[in-house]
Amino acid sequence: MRKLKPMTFTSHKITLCIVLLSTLTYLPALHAEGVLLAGQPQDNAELTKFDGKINLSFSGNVSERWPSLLVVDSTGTRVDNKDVALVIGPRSKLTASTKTLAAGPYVIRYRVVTEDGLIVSGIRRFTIKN
Amino acid sequence: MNQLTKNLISAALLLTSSTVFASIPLGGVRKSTDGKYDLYGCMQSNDYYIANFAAFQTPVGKAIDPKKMPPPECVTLPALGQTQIAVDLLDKDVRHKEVSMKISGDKGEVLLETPPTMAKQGVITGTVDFKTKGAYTVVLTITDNDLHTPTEISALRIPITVAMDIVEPASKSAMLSFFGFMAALAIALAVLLPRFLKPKATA
Repeated sequence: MRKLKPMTFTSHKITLCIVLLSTLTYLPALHAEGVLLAGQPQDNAELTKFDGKINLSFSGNVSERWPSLLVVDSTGTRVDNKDVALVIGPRSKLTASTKTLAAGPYVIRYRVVTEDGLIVSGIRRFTIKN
Repeated sequence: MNQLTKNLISAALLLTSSTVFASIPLGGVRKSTDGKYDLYGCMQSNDYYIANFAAFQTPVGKAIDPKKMPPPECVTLPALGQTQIAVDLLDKDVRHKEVSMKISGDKGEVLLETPPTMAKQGVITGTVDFKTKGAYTVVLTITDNDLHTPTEISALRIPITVAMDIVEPASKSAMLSFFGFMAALAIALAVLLPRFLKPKATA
């Protein structure tokens, strides 16, 4: 009868298991928490043309509560049209439009709240060049 | 341990830690503005900032014991006296900006004003002694070097009331009036009816 080889766990195998477990733990958390996935304009973008539309996508179970999106110029004056809209979906979309913008730096402040009561908020920047 | 394993571990650690920074959790079930208890608690926001408000009141004459804190109230405070105000700053970036809190009455009198400080733990607190009932405003002023918006525009204003009389619903008042009237009528009948039915003495 053939003798079975005893199973050996090297340190490499153990660390690989940890990595896999960490990744598996992370993936559902990513879905539940709500994370900013992408946005237009991109963070720190330098644009020569801007269509006046801000569009941010979020993962996770974003709720309809307290969404916000505003844009300010270098003096802190709001240049958005105060028309923030949130479309809930697998990739929830937070949108707003701006007035016609002159060349210069701008800052976007955004916020969504998830059904789990988590606040996802932050700042993005973009610059319009001549 | 080879380089690939090291890189994989680093990537996993970065991935797991990024969830911590992705969003800010709330502190648990709390009383909301409408008096109900829910996950969101006493959330207060404007277009710029969002925060969770809590006020801890102790009975008059008793000092605040930080180890035995009463359940937090939202913006409708039931009593006068020593009150500890705690505001959770829920925007991650605000925790790296100077924040000051001011509490003033409806006639402009200032009860509390904290100096601008960076609340790295995300909580700004202050203790105030409410001596008269009425309407007050808690104003959070954030020195925001990202937005450069004047603080009088971006400040988060939280209107609160202290020891204001609770107005009973109209239906409840009407019911109380009805039962009061019926009780008065019953007493009047009990006193007057025997007298009325008593035969008059004839001469």
